[in-house]
Amino acid sequence: MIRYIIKRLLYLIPVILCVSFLVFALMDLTPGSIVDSMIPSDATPEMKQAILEQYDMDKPMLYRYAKYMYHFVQGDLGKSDISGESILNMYLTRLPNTLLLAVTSLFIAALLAIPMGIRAARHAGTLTDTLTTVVTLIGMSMPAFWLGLILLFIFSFQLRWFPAGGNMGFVSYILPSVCNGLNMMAGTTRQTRSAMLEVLNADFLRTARAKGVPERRVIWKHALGNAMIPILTTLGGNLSTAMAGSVVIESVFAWPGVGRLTAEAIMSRDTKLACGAVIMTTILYVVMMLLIDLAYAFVDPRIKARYVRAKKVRRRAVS
Amino acid sequence: MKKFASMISIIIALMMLFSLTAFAGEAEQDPKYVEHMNVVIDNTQIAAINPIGSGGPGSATGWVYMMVYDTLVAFDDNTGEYSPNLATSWEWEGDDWTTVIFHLRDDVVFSNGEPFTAADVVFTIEQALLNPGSVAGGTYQTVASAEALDDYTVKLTLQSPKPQILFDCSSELGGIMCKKAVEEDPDKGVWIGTGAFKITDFGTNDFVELERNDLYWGEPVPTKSMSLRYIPEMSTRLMMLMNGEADICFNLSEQDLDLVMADPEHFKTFEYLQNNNSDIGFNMNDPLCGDLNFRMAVASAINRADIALGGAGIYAVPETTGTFWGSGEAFRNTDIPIIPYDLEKAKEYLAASPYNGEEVELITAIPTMINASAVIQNQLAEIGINVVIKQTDPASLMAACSYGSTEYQMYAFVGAFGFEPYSSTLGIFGKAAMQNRATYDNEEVQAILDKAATETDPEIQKEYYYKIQELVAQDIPYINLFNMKQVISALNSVDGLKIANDGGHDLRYMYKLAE
Repeated sequence: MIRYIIKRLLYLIPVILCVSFLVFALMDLTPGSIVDSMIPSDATPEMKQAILEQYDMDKPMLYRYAKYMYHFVQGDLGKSDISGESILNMYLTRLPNTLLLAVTSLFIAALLAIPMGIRAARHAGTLTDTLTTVVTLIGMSMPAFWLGLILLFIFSFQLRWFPAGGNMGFVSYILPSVCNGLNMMAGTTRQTRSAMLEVLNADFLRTARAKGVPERRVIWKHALGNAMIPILTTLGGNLSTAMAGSVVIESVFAWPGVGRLTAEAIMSRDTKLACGAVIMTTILYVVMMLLIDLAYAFVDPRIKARYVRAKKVRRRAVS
Repeated sequence: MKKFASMISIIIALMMLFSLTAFAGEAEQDPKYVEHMNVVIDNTQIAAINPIGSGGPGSATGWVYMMVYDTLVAFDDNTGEYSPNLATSWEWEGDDWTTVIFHLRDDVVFSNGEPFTAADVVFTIEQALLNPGSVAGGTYQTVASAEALDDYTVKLTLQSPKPQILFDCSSELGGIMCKKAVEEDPDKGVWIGTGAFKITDFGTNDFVELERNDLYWGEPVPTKSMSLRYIPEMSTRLMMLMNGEADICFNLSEQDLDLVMADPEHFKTFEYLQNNNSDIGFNMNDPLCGDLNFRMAVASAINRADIALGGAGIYAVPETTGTFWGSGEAFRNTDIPIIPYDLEKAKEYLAASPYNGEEVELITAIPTMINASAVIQNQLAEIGINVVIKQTDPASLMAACSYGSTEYQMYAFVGAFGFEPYSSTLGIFGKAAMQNRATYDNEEVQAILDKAATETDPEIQKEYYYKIQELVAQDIPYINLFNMKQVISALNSVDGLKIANDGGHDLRYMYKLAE
């Protein structure tokens, strides 16, 4: 297991190299640069040159990339060219907002999607199933910004229950979490329904029922336990995406998260900040996916058994 | 028992003493005004509060700088005159406009209690010069050196003659910082100024919390604290204003403004005409657009009223003169006639131009100009010009449409004018200037600009700038289409906002009446 974790973490090196180079190259290919907004309209040629030199914009992209990576391997993500602030600080200040939003959204999604998916699967072909399919289709096709604005209109503007924008404490989490959660919920419900359909008629469930195991236990323990891998994959994917930050949701709710930080860095051509934010998000994403893979072992005894078996084989080989 | 009573009395006495010291120095809040105001800012987020360490500020950053820092001199947008601020007076040494001496106030302290001296001015300018990409670096770019002659006298030596340095010294982007505070804490020390407010908290591109500086040397401000929050989505800004989360809100969409204006019982608006021009520019290096007949054909074929309506509806005011000059800028020559809308004449000009029916690329950015470009495209099609619109983002447009660029033929964007005519003119019509997107190069204009550089007599300045406008109107490198009417929405009880039509509003004396 530890070798597997180390191996997966080592994959991060080429991933970070590729991602960072891509960000640098794409930002370089995009017209405009960080210095465009810094050079005063009546700047002298010497002044222009001094600004270009200050930001290394007079040097080729490869030089700037190599310089950035040289500092990165020493644990220094650098400073934002616009604000002069430490990129790591900027990212870490926003990360808790994004993480908390991602986790609460996932919680809402799981809370709604799993029971709905199970119910739809148990009543496949009935009105309940059709209604669930319609609801999930609406959820999947409803743009997040539209849903966000509708939620704001009802709960913030009409009812005045929640603030419309910004992070003003606990109440500020509710609307963006619900918006994000409802979007996640649609796909997860469909995934739960199809995964449950596959196991509901399995022999081991029939055996359990014949042995007198209560139906609730049959469904929630035996059936759901075996259908959990695809559900976990969907939820994990949703969580990883949410942790990268949703620019749309963060914009509608004026949420200070990492998604908006990255998007704003790109818009203002702050290459170092964009690259730093993407690298951090990549690390987070890879670690998250690794944790999900590890979680499979806990929910599925077959996978756990495979790890244990591999360990025994290795021990035997050593002895 | 007696001992216990004496102990209690000591504790009470200490508590009273503590409460007295806790409130000492805090100005009493006028019950007429609410203590806290919430300001919702638009898409010009505040990336940093650090004039010497950050660059490329949006207009809202300037508002905060104006609240926190003071400048050496003050500039009146309406009269164009300078008045004392941190400097009580100033004089030029010699007559070559390269050395200016400022005499400073001796009764000013920073918000942290440190006294303000010439050393702070020298420190701010030296730090700015070390960091040319910073906002302060841009402001003081022509300064060669700053020297403290005594505690309250500073001498600035310039690299070249520049009477306009007074204007630079009036810019909030060059506000004076506290040397001691910055040296002790380079991150938060830069937040310390002598201004009417002090910063208590700041989140990059998110919010700024400000509190009244009770040590402020100027007229006390009515509001005790303010929050400026960046809300990127227009509809969210509207809802925040309507449900009372915001007291004042900048930059709502035209549709949202209609809703605000429909409820005068609760809301009010502050309106002003933006100084900047929404315009078409031609690449003068391009064989086709460099031809005067082609530019005349375009100028004669456009109907500004329709373009303005298509661009921003009732919030766009069509240009009625033939000048290309800021609407609120001094020395605007309104006598220059506009090129009339005349399709027959336009076709004659086009026939005399090298145009052969090929595609002409028009690059544009920002929604208003994208909408306006669609109308321009239709209008030019009427005389047979085949315009292809290329949409991009502002940063890409600015990069493509720079002096000497060959990446575009025509652009539709916003020309940036300031309040100081020489800097604006140099920036837009000067050779190799950043805002000279048309690559306009007229030797006569350049010669007048050279003379205008050190001219301070308003009559002669007027003569120079009027002449420049006439020459530009003959060459038409740019066509002024319309000016945007900007509308700021607020609750009815809000007032005291000082509008500047270049967007540099003064929020310091803004207040909200208590109910």
